[in-house]
Amino acid sequence: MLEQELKDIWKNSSQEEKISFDLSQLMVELNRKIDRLKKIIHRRDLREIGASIFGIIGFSYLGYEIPFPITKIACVLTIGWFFYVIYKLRKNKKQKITVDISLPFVEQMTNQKANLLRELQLLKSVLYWYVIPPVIFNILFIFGFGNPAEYEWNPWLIKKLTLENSLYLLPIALNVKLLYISGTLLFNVFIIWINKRAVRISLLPLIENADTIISELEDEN
Amino acid sequence: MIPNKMNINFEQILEENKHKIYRICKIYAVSPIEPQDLFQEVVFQIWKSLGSFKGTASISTWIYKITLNVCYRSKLKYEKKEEKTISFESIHIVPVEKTSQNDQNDKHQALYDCIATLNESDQALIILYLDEVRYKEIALITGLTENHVAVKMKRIRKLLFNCITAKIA
Repeated sequence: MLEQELKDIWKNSSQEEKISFDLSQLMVELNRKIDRLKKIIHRRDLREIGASIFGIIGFSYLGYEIPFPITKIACVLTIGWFFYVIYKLRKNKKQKITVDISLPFVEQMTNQKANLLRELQLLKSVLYWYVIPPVIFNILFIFGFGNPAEYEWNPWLIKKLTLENSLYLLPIALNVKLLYISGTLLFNVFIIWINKRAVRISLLPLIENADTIISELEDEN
Repeated sequence: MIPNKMNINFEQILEENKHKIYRICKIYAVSPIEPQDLFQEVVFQIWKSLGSFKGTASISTWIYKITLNVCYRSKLKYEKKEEKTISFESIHIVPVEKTSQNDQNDKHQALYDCIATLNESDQALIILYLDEVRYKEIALITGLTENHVAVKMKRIRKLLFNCITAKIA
């Protein structure tokens, strides 16, 4: 078979379909897709930061209201941690290489691999910045809970919500504290497992695939 | 919103390049992704990037870069699913009724099957070769050197020819 014949077969292969456009409608749809993507990104940003802001407000109130010193310290530490989470997520986003789809193929693949590796690093380090600190602060928070009667504590919000009866649950018995802490630990073990699974199932194969393509391209033969 | 001047260029770009884009999409579409899905994504990326086209390379080189990058990104499943859910109803891709050209259809299929046996990076190179893109331009599209492309192409062409000869003979 001649080379030209092969090229003709290739070029004729796309004549099996008739491709047409309605340009004015396409413009509307393209703009709609751009708007939708912007909304998705905006919502994702809000979601990421929203949870931390909600936590900062909540623990600020608790830190102000609760009289037990160790619990107060735990609240301050937790607020600091929430700020750190916002910083960490934003920093990671800034470090991401912007996707330029019109770059040469090898460069595009290399950028893509770098972004995947950054994501891998973030997920691998979850234990140290996302799991251990809040677990420690949580333990402090619960262990710090003392007897409200000793501090003549009568919180405003509980009065407002007429939940005074809930104060009879305090002081929390040691075995209840231990049970709560065990639950927290189990929950966090679950979070670590989910992350490890995400790394194993979704990220590692993608990195391997990107690696293979890059090395195949750069191979001299 | 892009200006009207761009709309004219955009239409022209689509009309001139639609078949070569679709050919590439057909190679890289792996179920559940259809060639139409990839084609729509390429159209979207061309439109989105049109403003940043500097004209340092030909429009054809630029289109090839975008098409290959979009196809590979979809292969790596890197894009979030939710970003792919809008389908453009304004793009119509209809199969042409097959006449008695069974022989031609068999050849198309044989060629697609043979390309599928190549590794992923070789596929990109042979597609460009079959589209009669010069080595210099292939080097610009892939980011390899012209020499490197030539060496690789020699080997890939041999593989493809052996495969297609065996299939069609």
